[in-house]
Order: sequence, then C-alpha cells, then structure tokens
Amino acid sequence: MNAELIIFYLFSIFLIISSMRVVISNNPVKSAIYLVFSFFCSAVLWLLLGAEFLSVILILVYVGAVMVLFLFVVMMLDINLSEITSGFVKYLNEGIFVFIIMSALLILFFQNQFADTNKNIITEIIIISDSNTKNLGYILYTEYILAFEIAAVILLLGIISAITLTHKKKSDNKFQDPDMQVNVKKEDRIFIVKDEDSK
Amino acid sequence: MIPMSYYLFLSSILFSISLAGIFLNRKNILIMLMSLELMFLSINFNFIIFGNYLGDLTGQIFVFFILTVIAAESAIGLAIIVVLYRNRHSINVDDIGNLKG
Amino acid sequence: MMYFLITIIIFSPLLGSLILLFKNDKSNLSTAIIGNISIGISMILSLFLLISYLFDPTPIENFTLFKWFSSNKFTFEFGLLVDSLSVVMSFIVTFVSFFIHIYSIGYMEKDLGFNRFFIYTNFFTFSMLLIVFSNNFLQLFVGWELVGLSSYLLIGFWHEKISAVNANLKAFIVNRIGDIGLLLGVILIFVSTKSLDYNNLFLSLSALSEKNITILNYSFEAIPLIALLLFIGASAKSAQIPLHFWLPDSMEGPTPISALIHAATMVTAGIFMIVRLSPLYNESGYVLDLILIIGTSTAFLMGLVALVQNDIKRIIAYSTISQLGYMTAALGASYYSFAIYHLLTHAFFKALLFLCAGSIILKCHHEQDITKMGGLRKIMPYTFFAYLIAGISLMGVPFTSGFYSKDLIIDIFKNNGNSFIYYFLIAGVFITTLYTSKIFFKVFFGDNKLKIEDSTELEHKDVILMPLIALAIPSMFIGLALFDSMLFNNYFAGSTSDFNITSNFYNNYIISAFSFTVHAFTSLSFFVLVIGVITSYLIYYKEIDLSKIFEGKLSLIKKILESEYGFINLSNNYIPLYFKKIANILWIKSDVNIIDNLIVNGIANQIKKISTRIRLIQTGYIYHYAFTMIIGLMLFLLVFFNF
Repeated sequence: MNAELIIFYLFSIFLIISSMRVVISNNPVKSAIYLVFSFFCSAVLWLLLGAEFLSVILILVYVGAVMVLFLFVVMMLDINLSEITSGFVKYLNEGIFVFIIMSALLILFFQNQFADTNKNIITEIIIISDSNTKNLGYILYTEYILAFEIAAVILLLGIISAITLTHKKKSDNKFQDPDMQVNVKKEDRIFIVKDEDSK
Repeated sequence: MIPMSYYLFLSSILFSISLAGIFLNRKNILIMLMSLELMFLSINFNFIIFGNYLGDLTGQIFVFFILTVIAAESAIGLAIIVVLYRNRHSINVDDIGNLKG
Repeated sequence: MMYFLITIIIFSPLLGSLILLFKNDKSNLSTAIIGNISIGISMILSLFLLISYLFDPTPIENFTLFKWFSSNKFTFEFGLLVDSLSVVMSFIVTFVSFFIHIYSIGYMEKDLGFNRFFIYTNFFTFSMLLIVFSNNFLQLFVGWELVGLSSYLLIGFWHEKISAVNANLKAFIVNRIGDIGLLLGVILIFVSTKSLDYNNLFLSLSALSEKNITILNYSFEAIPLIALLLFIGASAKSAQIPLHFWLPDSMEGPTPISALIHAATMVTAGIFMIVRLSPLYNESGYVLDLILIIGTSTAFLMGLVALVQNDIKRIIAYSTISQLGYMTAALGASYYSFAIYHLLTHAFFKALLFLCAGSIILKCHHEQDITKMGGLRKIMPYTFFAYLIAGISLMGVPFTSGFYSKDLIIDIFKNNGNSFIYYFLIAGVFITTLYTSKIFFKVFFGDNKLKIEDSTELEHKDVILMPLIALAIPSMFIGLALFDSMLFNNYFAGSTSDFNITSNFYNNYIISAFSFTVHAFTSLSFFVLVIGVITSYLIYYKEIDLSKIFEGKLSLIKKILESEYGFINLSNNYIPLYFKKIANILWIKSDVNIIDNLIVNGIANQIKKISTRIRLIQTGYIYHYAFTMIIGLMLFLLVFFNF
C-alpha cells in the first residue's frame, strides 16, 4: 500500500462524508461549509489525477468565489430554520432507496465496463511540455479559442442576467426613454411666444 | 497507481449522494442547488478520468468550460432564488408548484 | 425587332394598369393620360404591324419569351405567335379599345371609380392581347381566364347596384361552364399529344385522327371530341345558344364597357380561338355541322328577341349575339377568314353603335327605354350621323363595311347550295334591319318626349364626339378598303387553313370587290333589306299598330320572344333554385357534418379530451421531475448493462 493509495482513500472518505453532510445538514450555512470541504477534497484527488491547473482553479474559483456567493445568499435570506428542518425525515427512506439503487447500478456498470483497464490510465499528458498548465493553455488558446471566447460571453450573460433579475426598479431613477426621444415633436420643445411690447 | 475503476466508483457514489439530496431536501431550494453543484463535481471527475484514460487533454478542457458554465448558472440560480424569496417570502420547494397541470 | 415590338404591345397595357393601381394622387387627368397612352402605344404599334403585314403577310414568327416551368418530360413556355391573324386581331383590339378609352374619359368623368375603371380596362386589354398572341394552350387558357375575370370586374363596376352584381355573377358562372369545356379540351390535347403548343398539335393532327378516346366504355374519335370541348368554351365566350344569356344582362356595366367587352373584344375571343385552331376544326367533321347549326340559329333567333326589347342597350346586345351567330355560321362552313373579316368590321360598327347609345343615354339622363325617347336628330347631329353610319353598316347596305363582310357570309351558303341556312340568314338580315331602324326612328325622330333642351353648345364634350367620328370612318370604309387585299390576297394563307376554298370562292363567285358590290344590288339580301327598311318605316315611324292587323295573333309570339324562348326563366329561376337546393344539401351534409364537426372540430375536441387527462402528469414538483429523470437514467443504464 503506497502513499498515493493512502491519500486517495483518505480523501475519498472525506469527500463522501462531507458530501453526505451537505445533503443531510439542517442548516444551509453548515451545508455550504461542507460543500467547500468536499470541493477541497476533490481538488486533492484531481491533483492525484494530474489535473493540477483544474484543482487550483476549483479551489480559487469555487471555494473563493461561488461558495462565498452561496453563503452571502444564505445569509441574505431570512430563513426560518425550524421550519426547514421539519419534515426532513419523512423522505429519508426514498432518499436512501434512490442512493442505493443509483450507486449500485453505476458501480456495477463501471465495474462491468472498466474494471480490467487499470493499466491504461495516464496521468501525464505531454503536448508541449510536462507542465499541465502549459499544455492546457496551449490547447485552450489554439484549438478551443472560439469556445473560450463564447465562455467569456456566457460569463457576461451570467453577470447581466443576475443583475437584471435582482435589480429593484426605483421610480426616482433617472433614465432615458428612447421611444419618447424618437417621437418627440417640435411643438413639445419649442413654444413661440409673441412679444406684445416689441411692436 | 490507483486503478481507474476506483475513481469511477467514487464519482458514482458522489452522483448518487447528490441525487438523493435532491429528494431529501424538499424544504430548501438552496441545498438543492448545492446538490446540483456536487453533481457537476462528480461529472467533472468523470471527464478528467476518461480524459486521462484516452490520453487526451480535451477532457480537462471540457471541465474548464463546465466550470465556467456552472459559475454562470449558480450566479443566475442564486439571483432567481433571491427574487423568489423577495416575491414569496419562502424558499420552500413545496410552495413552488405553479407548473402543476 | 419584332420580338421587342410585340412585347411592348402586350405589356404596355399591363404596365399602364399597374401604374394606375399604385398611383397616389386622385386626379382624373393623370389617370386619363396614363390609361390612354399605354393603350395608344399598343394601338400605334399594332397599326404599324398591320400595315407591314398588308404589304407582306408571309412572315410567321414564333418565339419563346421565357420558360414558365419545366419538368422532366414537359416544358411550358410563355411564347408569342405573330402571324397575319394575330396582327389583325391585335389591331382590332387595340384600335377599338383606344377610342373607347378616350370616350370613357368623357363618359366616366363624374364617376368616383374613374381610376379603378381605367385599371380594369387596361388590364382587360392586356388579357385579350395575351390570348391573341399566345402560341400555346396554357397561355391561351390564362388569358381566357383573365379576360373572364376582368369582364366580371367591369360588368359589376357599379357594385352598389344589385342588378349589376347579379349580372356579373351570371356572366362569370356561364363563362365558367365554358371554361370547363375549354380546360377539358386542353387537357385532352395535352394527354394525347404530350404538348400544348399549337404547332405541335397541327403537326400531330394526322396521328391524332387515328386515335380514339374511351370514356366509360364509350369510344370517341379524338379530334371531334377535342373540337367539341373547345367549342363549348368558345360558345360561352362568344355568347352562342345555349350559353348566350349572360350577354344581355351584362349591359348593367357602364356603356363603354359594353362597347369594349360585348362588341369588340371579349366576345370575339371564342371566334378567334376557333379560327386560330382552324386546322383542327377542318378535321373535326360533325362538329363543324353543329357549329353551323348553332351559329345560324343564334343569328336568327336572337335577332328576333331584339325586336321585342325596348332598352337601347339590350337591343344592341341581342344584335351582337346575332352577328356573332353569323360569324359562327361562317366558321361552321369552314370559311374562317370570312368570320374574322366580319369580326373586324363588326367590331368597328358595333363599338360605334354602343358609343352612340352611350352618348344618347348620357344626353337623356340615363334613360335607356327607347319608347320614351324621340326627336334627338336636331339635338345630337353628330351622334345621329354616327348612328346612321353604324346602322347601315349593321344592316349591310352596299358600300358599307358590314355589307362586305355579312353578305360574304350569306353568299357562302348561296354558293354552297345550302338553301336552308341561306334563307335563315336572309331572314336574319330582315330582322336586323327592323331592329336597327327601330332604334333609329324611335330615338331620332318623332316627338321630343323627354323635353331635352336644344342648347347652342355642342351635344357633348370633344372626348366623347371624337371617338364617334374616329370609329365612323372604319365603320364605313374598312370593309371595301381591305376586301381584296385582306381576304383574297393570300393574307390569311399562313394562319388559317381555308385558303383553298376561299380562293376558289373568289375566282368562281366574286371576281372583284366591284363586281361583288354591283352584284349585291340584284341579290335577295338587298331586296330583303329594302323591304325591311320600308316595313320598319311603316311600323316605327308611321306607327301602324301591328296587333290590330293581326288581331292578337302576334301576342303569343311576342310572349315567347320576351321570355327569350324560356331562357330568362331558366337562367334566373330554375337553375339557381335547384342549384341552391343541391348546394344546401352539400353544405349541411358534407361541409358542416363531416368536415366541420368530424374533422376540424372533432380532432380539436379529441385533443382537448386527451390533453386534459395527460396534463395531470405535470405535478409541478421538482422532485417528481427528478424522479422521472432518474427512472430514465436507470433504464438507460440497464439497457447498456453488459450482463
């Protein structure tokens, strides 16, 4: 039993436990924290798989940004915890049933298909150098440049839609109405007043 | 060297847990969203594993894009939840039944 | 060059009509200018073509303008066929149409639909030219339908009048019956020759004459059947018995329209088509006899009906039918070029008659009953002289146009020895004389019953008088002028198939126009004409009461004539009544019950029923949807599970 396998076992157990806690936790704040931990565990496992760049990204972006966003939202919403926790046990049986059936099927399936292909796994994919980040960057900026640009647009879309959804319209906001601007007539703006005295 | 099937079992378990999570949490839509994040995580696992299995970096590129999409998705999803809460003062899944036929 | 010319002739009226359609301003002046110039261009070019063809009638040009559509085996093209026949027709159509357009400026000036009127008339001229210059049956059919459509629009021009709407409906439906015949004929031609070109049909005539067509176990010879079907179409357009009854009713339209459609152009389409297909009709055997009988009976019987009418336009309308009967009789005797010649002269003098009638009606404040008119000779001298010329031309007084064409047709049968038809047509001359003089004496002589003031000004505006004068000249002289050059100078040799018999006829019987004229003074028809004039002078001028002389014997005949041999009753009462009954049954049984309730609403109701049940599946709970997805995923995995 080498060190690699020990790390794998350790962090997979952590990952499973923490993800279970995410699901069954009563408190949304707690489950968010456990989610962060499960992300962290999977980042470690991705390191084992040789995806160094992605594991770093996972921690930086997810733990650093998305999870914080989650926490913000959880705290912003004034949720009655007792109401949420009630009725949880009611569906426990269905949940366990789904879990067992699903995992059994998937594991059997993968066991069936991929059990004897251990030798084939490659952790080092070399394209221009042995650095995972360099390789990824090379492919990303050559072959997938268009998809990369589109991803940027999708992020922009996310920003815009999140803002427009949550933005509260206030009546005293100053804004321009293009419709009114186009349809304006001369009479609306200019009034010709006759000067009686200058006659 | 860790056998590939171990990683696959791990991702299957992760997937099943998150699926069960959607069932268990009928009161809180936030945790449902978190289960979704977990589900994406297990799928990303699979992408990396099969990318390695085929000796191709495209799997990791895919994970990269999926991460981008999830980021956008969770931002929008949270925004929707905020709006929902603002309008209904509840994030109870059972209350959101307007699509009933 | 020719190509370009003909294209302009055809499409100039269409262009005029389109410009008028999208014209923005409401002024009558610009409408009149555009409407007349577009026809005028066609008229001048047609005149030019006619003159060049009179010098040399041989060139036959057949070219394709564009390919309409083509399938694997067949191509349908839009083509032009220019020969002596189509040039003459185009001259008639555009010349008469042009002067009627000018006339309409004056006649319609106070009408609100002035612009609409010119759109229709321009479009009408275009459709007619399309028929005239077509070189295949498909194009002929399109033109035929467009002529029907524009006549529908024009007859119902005053669409607020219920009688006008009924009349245009009647015209449209009767023409539709004819169109079915035409369409079936065209389809038969297409089926049996695999082509719709005229030329192709003429080339394959000998092969076609061997062919038989079997319908429901009855075998017919192909050529007579095709000829008969096409003649049904022609007889509806050219108002022959028994499809004639739409024409008198269609006098509901404005008078220039009556002149344009029901004298000069539209009704001639049927005659023209048969002349165009003369090689086919030469082979058609018994159909020619049928055409001869129908033509003769139309000429005689419809002339009789004209005698009992009192409406000035209806008299002229029946006279038109009667004259078309003469043309049809000439066709039946396979003297096609004589029919076209009568068509030519008739177009001028009949248009002139209608325009005179319009002028009279205008002066009499839209009174059309001639028994109420009288004494207009002094008040309307121009109209009087124009009517005089047109009238004597219609009667067939020697030296007038009508004489040369009509007596020619009558003399065919004298020469043939077909005395039965000959005496019928001679009787027709007598009747023609009677009703023409009836209008003449009743309107222009006698007391001024309507008390129309004799103003010092001209009787009408110049735009109304000018066409009368312009049409009076050809009505008088064109018969003599073109007699030798057009009929017997090989003019129609290239376009009709009757060259041999006409030249034979000429050499044996006529010899020259001069001898023909001199000979006419000793003929029976001239004698009958003189008797007719004297009789009508006695009846209508001296007003001898016939009923006293015959002591009521005439009343039965009068009744029959007034009911138009029962056609009025048939067309106005019986057929609509039974048609309505059948239509009602079809409507309720098939349309309402089957189509509406069973198919249209039935399907919708079923879908509604099913979907009210199905929609219960949608619970609106997210975990239900998730559960469905999981089941799907499980099934998917089970399917791909490699046990």
